[in-house]
Amino acid sequence: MSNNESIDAKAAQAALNEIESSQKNMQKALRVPLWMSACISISYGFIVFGWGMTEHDNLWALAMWIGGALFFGFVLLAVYSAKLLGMKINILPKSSSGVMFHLFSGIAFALLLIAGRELRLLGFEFAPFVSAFLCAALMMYFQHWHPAGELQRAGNNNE
Amino acid sequence: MSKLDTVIHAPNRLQICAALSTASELEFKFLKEQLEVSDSVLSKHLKTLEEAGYISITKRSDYARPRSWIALTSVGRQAFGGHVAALKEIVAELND
Repeated sequence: MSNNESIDAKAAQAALNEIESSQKNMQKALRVPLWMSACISISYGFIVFGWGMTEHDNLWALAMWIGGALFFGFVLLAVYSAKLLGMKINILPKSSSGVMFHLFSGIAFALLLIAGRELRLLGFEFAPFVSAFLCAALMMYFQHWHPAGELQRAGNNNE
Repeated sequence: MSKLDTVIHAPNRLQICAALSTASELEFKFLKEQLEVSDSVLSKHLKTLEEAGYISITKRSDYARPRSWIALTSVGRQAFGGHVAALKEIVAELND
């Protein structure tokens, strides 16, 4: 086998299916436990909410730092527990699909973070609540369906 | 036009590369459980991939327990990407 003519389309499709199935299984293995995912998401939401509510004369900046410390603590715990199980998670994307995923998710999180604060300063008092909730929900969604940080979605448990 | 890679195309090696492409490094035991193969079969395939320069195997001790960590090299990642592209081209030719 040295070129494209040496295998037929059925064999090629079967190989592609095998690759996809293998990657989906790996993504399922990379999923962090639900409780840990919830802790990471809530602490991230706390950072966004704290940033949205921060003023010179209040203590929300402190809440933001506490949220940040909890967030990084839980992320480190997730990375460490994956390592104990025999997996080292990609911190930086190594494929074009990973770069696209990180780019889009980064933009989404940045927009929500900025919108939460700026809208509150414009008088929409509920904006930090909404942006923090959306950020936490998005974080939870990404951890469940895109645990490898790739555009490809992880499979269901019964797939 | 991308070319199929004979080193990667073998079913087990294809699965190894696919699994490694989603993570930074995987441990030997974990990979063995994922592929449901014996130690000797996995070692044989890993050796072939390592000789081709597609993977790197690092032995490290964690809490006095020796563990072998396997990662795709940049050459391996490129070869795997090329192989997948070649497979997609073959399937696309049929659909056209």
